[in-house]
Amino acid sequence: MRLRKDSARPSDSVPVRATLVAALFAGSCWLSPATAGDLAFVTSQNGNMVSIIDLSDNEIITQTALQDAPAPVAYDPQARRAYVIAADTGRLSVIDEAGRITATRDLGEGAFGIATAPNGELFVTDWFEAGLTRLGRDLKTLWRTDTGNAPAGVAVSAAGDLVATADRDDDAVSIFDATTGRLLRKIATAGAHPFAITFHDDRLWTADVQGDTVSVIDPIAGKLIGQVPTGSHPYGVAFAGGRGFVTNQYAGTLTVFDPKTLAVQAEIDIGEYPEGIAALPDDSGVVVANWDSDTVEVVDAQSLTVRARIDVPAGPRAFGAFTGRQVPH
Amino acid sequence: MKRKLLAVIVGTALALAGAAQAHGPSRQKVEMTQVLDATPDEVWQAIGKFDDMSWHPAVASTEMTPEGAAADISDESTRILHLKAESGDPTITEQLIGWSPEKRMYKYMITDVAVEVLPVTNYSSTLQVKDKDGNAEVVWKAGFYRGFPNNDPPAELNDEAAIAAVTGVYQAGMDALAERFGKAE
Repeated sequence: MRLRKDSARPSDSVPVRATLVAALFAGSCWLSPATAGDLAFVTSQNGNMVSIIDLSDNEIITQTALQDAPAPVAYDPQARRAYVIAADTGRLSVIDEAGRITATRDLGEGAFGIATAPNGELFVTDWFEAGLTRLGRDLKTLWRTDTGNAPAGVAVSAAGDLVATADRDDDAVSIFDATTGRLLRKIATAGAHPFAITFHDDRLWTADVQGDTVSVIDPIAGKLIGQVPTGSHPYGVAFAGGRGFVTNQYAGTLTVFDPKTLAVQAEIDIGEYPEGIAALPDDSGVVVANWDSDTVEVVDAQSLTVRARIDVPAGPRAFGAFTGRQVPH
Repeated sequence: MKRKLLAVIVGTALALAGAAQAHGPSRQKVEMTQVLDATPDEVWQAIGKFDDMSWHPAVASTEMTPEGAAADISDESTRILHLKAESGDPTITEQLIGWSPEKRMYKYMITDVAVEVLPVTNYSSTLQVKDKDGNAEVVWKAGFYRGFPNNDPPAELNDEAAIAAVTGVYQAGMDALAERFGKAE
């Protein structure tokens, strides 16, 4: 009998494609335009690892060991770094594009959802203490404000003026002035337990885990303006190629919908327990982390087929905006 | 409430669980496999009915709710497992969330259970019989959170207790199947 509990805790950074990595480090041109690419930072919660994937060839460039269940992540190509939260401790780690941990800060055990603002500052929810904190690029606190109960995901508008939290246990979304932290709106979601939240096309979209719905919210009018039925236990929402995609954890599927009409176009099979989802930087598809299959899959937004499958350490979650295009310097 | 068999299972689990850790909840995973000396179809015949968990030694009876409801409708079919106990009527209510007899597989989630019975929350599971060189390979796996949703869980409701309890239940089921069909070497 074989029992797997996925509790391995590798203690060091594990280079993959060692020859290539060595070659890159041999020169000092790792971040030169010639090597700039599309990257994904995938957190493996059970495997305690962050994998940086080159989305042009779907290979893992390097991996960084990170203790205590890394799950939420936000990649900021402008700052050439990703932010990762360890769910067990609430420690925030800054990881550069070569997989080096360059800074950490302990934010308290409840620190969870994370998102970056256009100016490089960041927002972190506090699940236990029902709060939202804005941090500078130096990780110092700029302000803290109260949210609804159990805030999970957080999202920043394209202009950087609004920030919204999915308050899971209140079945609601809170919208704040991103500059001051003042609460502007609180809007009930279509279904219970909104978890992930994202801005797209000036609307807010939440995956309502217990409601099997995606809520569509107009943040300015402060109204729920529509909903999309999903498969069982939706987790994340992303947009690519003019379509919306939802990971359905229990169903093991992606719901595909039209963001304009909100009509469901397809429900396609994906790996087991799909969770984190983000668009490819070229908008041609989405990247999905399958928590139970220990894989990352790239799904083509037009053909709706799986373009690539990448094995990653146990329990990939990648909760947040984990993809982006490197900025040449 | 005293539950003889489950008490033994969970008791063993707690002994293995160790000290409480103060940290936030994260989802846990348990997966167990067992290759049996029987064909996949034979074993699926025994364990592949959502309305019959009599193959598991901790289950006294399986009740469909509402009574007589179909047992093969995803997101609808719901069963109540009545567990063996010296007194009281500990139960676990589970809903079918995926039905794939062609893969000899079904998925289900717990919709109601007391943490004193099984110290988990947000539990979903997959039971499958695969074909391994003609023999049945039973794969039983689950994703779940611990019983205590906030920080500083008591020892009996922490991550380790949840993992150990699920492991205990799966082990008891696998042991019963190994006894019934024999292990394949």
